[in-house]
Amino acid sequence: MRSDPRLFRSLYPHSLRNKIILLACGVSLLTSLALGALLVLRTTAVSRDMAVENVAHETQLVALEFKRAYDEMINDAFVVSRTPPIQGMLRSADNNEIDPLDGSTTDQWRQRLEDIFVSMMRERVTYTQMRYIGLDNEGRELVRVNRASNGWARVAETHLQSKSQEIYFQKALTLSPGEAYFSNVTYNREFGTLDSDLVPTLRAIVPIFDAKGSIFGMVVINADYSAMLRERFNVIQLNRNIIVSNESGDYMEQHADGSVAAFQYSLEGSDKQTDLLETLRPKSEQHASSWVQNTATDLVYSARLPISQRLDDSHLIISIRVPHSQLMTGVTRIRNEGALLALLLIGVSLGGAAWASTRLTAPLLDMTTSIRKARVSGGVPALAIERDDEIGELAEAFQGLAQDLKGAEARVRAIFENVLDGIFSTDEQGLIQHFSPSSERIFGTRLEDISGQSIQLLMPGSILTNYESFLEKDNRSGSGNAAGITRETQGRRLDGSTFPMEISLSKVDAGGQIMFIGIVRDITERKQMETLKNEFVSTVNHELRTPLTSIQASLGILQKMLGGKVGSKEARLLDISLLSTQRLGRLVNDILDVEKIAAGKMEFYPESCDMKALVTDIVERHQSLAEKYDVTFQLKADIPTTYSLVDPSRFNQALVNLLSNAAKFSPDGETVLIEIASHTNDRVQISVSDKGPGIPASFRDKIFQRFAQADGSATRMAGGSGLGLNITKSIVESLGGEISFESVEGHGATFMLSFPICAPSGKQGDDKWQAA
Amino acid sequence: MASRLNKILFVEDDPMVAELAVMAMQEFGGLELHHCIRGADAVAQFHEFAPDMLLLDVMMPEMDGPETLRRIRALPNGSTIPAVFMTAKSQAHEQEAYLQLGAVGVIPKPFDPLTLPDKLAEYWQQDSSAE
Repeated sequence: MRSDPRLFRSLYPHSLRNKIILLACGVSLLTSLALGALLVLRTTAVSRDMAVENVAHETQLVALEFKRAYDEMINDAFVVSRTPPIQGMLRSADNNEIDPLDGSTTDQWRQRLEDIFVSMMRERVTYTQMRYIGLDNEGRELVRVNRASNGWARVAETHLQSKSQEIYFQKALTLSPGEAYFSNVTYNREFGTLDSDLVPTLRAIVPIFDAKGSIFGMVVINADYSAMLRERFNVIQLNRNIIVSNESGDYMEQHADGSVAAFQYSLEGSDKQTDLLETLRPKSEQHASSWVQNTATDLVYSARLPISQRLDDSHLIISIRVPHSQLMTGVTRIRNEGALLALLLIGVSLGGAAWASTRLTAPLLDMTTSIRKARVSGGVPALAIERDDEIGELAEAFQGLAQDLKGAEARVRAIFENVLDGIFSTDEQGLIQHFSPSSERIFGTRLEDISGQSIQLLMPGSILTNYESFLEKDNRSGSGNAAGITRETQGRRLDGSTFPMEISLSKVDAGGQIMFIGIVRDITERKQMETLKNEFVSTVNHELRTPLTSIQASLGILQKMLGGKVGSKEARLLDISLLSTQRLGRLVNDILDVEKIAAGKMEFYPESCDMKALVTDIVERHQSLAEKYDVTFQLKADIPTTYSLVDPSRFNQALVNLLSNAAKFSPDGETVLIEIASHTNDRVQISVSDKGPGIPASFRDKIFQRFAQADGSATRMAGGSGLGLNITKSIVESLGGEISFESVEGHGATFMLSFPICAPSGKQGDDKWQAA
Repeated sequence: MASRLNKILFVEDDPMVAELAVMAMQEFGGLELHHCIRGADAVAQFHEFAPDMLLLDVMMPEMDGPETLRRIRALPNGSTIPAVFMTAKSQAHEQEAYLQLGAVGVIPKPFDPLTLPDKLAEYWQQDSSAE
């Protein structure tokens, strides 16, 4: 199976693909977190509110159900109080036990009331007793039916009790018609002592009034409070933790599983029970109709339910206790589902991003592959320019660039391959990188044979390995050009033969890599031509001088021999001949100098010279010039010993030219002032001032030109060639100096030379040859 | 060595220059001259003439001045002979080069015939006092 390189590339930690995937993951994660958090927070709040509301609602329903139990008891008591036997017994009691209305006896009425009690108790299983109590005989019971284990028992008249000591009896006496009373829950007492069954009993009492409006008696219904509550729990059928308590602190609890715990009687309650009730009924909520409490684990909702509005504050408190965890079940589910959804979303995003990014980056990878291939093959990469998107545009732009580069490269290569001069490049170590075909021709080798080898192989002079010295040397001779530094050296062909060549070398920083570019030219022919020319100049020099020497010598001898023997005209003719010959000699010298300067062949041998000593020496040695023109050379040299790097012989030539000019143009008897001074720290200046006619303004910009003559006749008379100042300027500038002049027409001229000061070196000018 | 410069062996290929130089040296200096057209002649005749000093033209066909000097210096009695070059190459460094070859002086062309003998005498004097 072929492995897809893209797969591996996608593993690069910083690949575009991975970035897109990461981005998608990050976005979906953030979105999920934000949405989830918001959802959970909101849902929690809403659910909680709803749950609390729900519990409140349940509590109210439960409360109503319990209220109904009380209402039933009151209702039953009222129903009984309005039955005929109650009034019948009342009437018969006042009429010797015979009812005046229908003749029924008291016993008959009792019988009938017992029947009513029995039938009612058959219906109400929680009722334990039903009684009709009269006020007479200390609240003697008139009729009484007890619930018994095998049904019910009509209590015989002999067993009826007096109840005037009971609290409920006394409370009932304060009631108005239509009012009823519930007793506290107490254990049932018979004949003043606790009943052995210990049944917590609630009593509902309704008073009976006679025709005059006085209380005659009361109907009392005893209910088994515990059974009554239990029965209500069974009716409600709500699987909650419900606690029902009354104002006395009696309570009954149903657990969340629906099982009902035993009735807890307040008088027998433990501390724990008291704690529970205190928890359920905080002091702060004593008068509220409902309240919510939160314990560490549960939420408790309580509702207060008044039982009797009048006699006291008897009431029920119904509390439903729900664990928080159960309350928040919905929220937890939503949160879990949300988390699952978020995970799913992230997963889908991841997959989608992976797919999309692969699709997005695939064309880029294709492009990269194409470009890599093109780099190897050297062609223009075939890119997907037909795509109608950004990648297509990139491809088109890149391909355009590649074509442009290739075109440009081809043009440069055409130049590279077709120039006559050899072009090569090396790295910093001088190892050959490029080698043009003309280089191959010049060095008689091929690029394949020398690529990567040291350029020293071809240039024994080790120019490149000694680049700095190459540079320094060339700064001296000053033949740098635009291509770098040009220098003549020796080249070596691969067969070992050597040839003179000219090399221009440039140091180039090509994108952080130092590169040397060399242009070489085989100058064998030029060298031959130069040699020929030098020989020619030398020959011409010799051939011109030889007859000149003869003429000058002849005239000199003739003048000496004929001294005083010829007439003044003849003597004058001899003078003119001799002067002209001397002038011709100087002209030949000057022309040869100009020729050398023009060809760059004038050689200089600079050395550190004591300028003060040098100038003094030159002036002294050329006193003859002063004498010849009848002037005085006055030297002013008030500076300390100062050195400059000059060729003393050439400097001599330049200064003598200036001295000669000054002497020539000075009027007889005048003084030529030669001054050596140092106005600045780094230059020494030599000036030559004359008192001659000065330099005409129109001539000033031509003064250093060849054959420049301000006044032809004057110059000719003075015997100049018209080349002196031109040569002087060339020499001075070649020595690194400057020449300038100042002149006021009619008041003389001053020529100034200045040279950079240098440190003294050990080598000094040789007196011997300076004297020559 | 003679106390005064007397005999000069002169090599110059140009006959006119030679003639004038000889004339100047004889007329104005009273020197005894032996002139050769070629360096080889001078080498051959050196021993016979036994000069006090050599005056050599530099540029000559076949054997030039410096070569002639080298050959004469190689001869017995020739190793210490003072020599003066006469040349149209009058550049300072060229003169320096000739002095390096062992010459005591260089006389540029065109030369002044009137002062030529004095200059030679001066060079000879310098050479003598140097020894």
